[in-house]
Amino acid sequence: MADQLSKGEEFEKKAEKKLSGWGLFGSKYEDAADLFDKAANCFKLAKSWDKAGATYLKLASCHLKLESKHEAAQAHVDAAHSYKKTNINESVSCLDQAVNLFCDIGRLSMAARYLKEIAELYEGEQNIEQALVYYEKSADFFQNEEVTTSANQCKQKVAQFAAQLEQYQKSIEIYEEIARQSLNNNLLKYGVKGHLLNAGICQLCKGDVIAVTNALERYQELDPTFSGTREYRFLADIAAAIDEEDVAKFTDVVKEFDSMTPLDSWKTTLLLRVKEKLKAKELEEDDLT
Amino acid sequence: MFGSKKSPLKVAKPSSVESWTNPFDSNDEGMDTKKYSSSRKTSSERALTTLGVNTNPFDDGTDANKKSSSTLYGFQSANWNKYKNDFRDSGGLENQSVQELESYAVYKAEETTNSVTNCLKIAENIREEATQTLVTLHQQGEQITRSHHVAADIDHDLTRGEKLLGSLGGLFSKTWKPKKTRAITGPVIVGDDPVRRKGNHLEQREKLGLTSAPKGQSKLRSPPQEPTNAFEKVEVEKNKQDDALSDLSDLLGELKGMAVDMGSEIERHNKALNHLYDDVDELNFRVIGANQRGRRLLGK
Repeated sequence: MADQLSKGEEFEKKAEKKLSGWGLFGSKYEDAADLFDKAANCFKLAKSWDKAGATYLKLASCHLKLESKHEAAQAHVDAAHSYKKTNINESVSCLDQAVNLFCDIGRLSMAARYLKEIAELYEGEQNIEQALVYYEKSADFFQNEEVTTSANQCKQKVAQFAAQLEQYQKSIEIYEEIARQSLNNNLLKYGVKGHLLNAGICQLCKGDVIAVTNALERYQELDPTFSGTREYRFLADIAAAIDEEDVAKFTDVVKEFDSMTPLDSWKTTLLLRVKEKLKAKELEEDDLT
Repeated sequence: MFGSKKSPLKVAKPSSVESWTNPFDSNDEGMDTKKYSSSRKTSSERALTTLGVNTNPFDDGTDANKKSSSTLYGFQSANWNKYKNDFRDSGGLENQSVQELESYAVYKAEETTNSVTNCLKIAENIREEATQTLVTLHQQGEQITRSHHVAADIDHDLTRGEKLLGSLGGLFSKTWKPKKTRAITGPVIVGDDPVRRKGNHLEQREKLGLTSAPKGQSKLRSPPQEPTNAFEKVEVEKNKQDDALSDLSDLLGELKGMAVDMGSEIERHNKALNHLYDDVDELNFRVIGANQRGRRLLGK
């Protein structure tokens, strides 16, 4: 381990020396880049992640001097992957630079991929606001490149986080759009009722029973088979429970649905919000009487 | 997430297995095994049953005192063992009172309902997984198409490279022409390609009256009154079974459709991959030729 570290430092010194010396037609940058690459690999083997990241950044600047934007972008990505182990903010910054370089050379699919990676890093750090922003950018890039499945995956993440941040309308629009797209595809049509259920739960969170009823009618027009599903019955029964301001009925409906298909944490969180609102309403009514 | 769920497969054991008793076993040994099996509960299960812990976030604790359906029907665990082995210990079915047989009928009806419900749960789980598989297949199809597009782009670039290599020879050198065995076709959409076929198929089915929409509405009926006698209880259970079996039938139909779609999509992928393989093979052949030309030029 220490052996690799000293090797890396040696390569780095040689590279710095090359850069400060003379060179013909930019050959010094090529030689320095080669040495920085070796140094970074040694630091990685020594598990000295910060040093590896810093060295990759030096490598990137060498590539930029040589007008090799693709290699520079890749070096930034390598730096980000090294920093990922120790410093998330630095990692995000490196990936951001890589994305800009990939955009410059027209590699939009690569840019989309790394935007998604930034979003995942923020998601891991529980920074939902930033994760949402980057998933949205990523979805946009994937859509431009016509990589629809990846675009939809990112959009679903956006919808999920938007709902968590109480931006229900945004979430509803995304889920409905994905459902509409999926209907035209023999492979994706089976997931439609799941998307419509998610949209319906977001409608419930808005607390407008009439809007929920209208939405259910709209979903029926969108997918005629939806009205025969358990998801439709679930949403309709919950809407009825909210209309009647009956917490016990609400609980029973949720428990019955969960007994067949266990609700994930996202749905649970949103349904608990609905229940809290319903309880508050009930208490309000009691106070008035 | 919601309570300690056991695998649906383990809940309802077939009665035939349960009812079989070893003729060489003495009764007290049988009792021993029961004793051991009851003590084999995990500590967490025991804690949950003794404390009556409520793990469902939607429970208010209001129905904590409600009895389960089995206790409503007046079954004690002692009776359950009797029912499980078809009254073998108490003189067989013929020697039971009418009341006992009625209770037995209700017990059996409940057991059947549980089995059907568990089947439905399993089918739901399979459907969830199948939906994910279909999404993945769709993604895979897109990736194959994209890879083929890249191969076509490589062909375009390689053609330019070959032109440059052809013009690089000396003044008296023989003109070089790249060998091509076949043209690069690029991605080919195979056959009818039902996956990308657009259209208002669902609306047409609805107009024909083929959708299952009305059937779903029937389940929104008001809940029946609390059953009083054994016959009513059995009828209630039968209705539950009918509903569950109807749902199961729909689910199995859907799973069949999914399986067919998976099959046709995988077939499409195979054909697309065959085309891709042919194109990549041709590209490989041409790259080798271009390399040879380059080496020859460098050797001069």
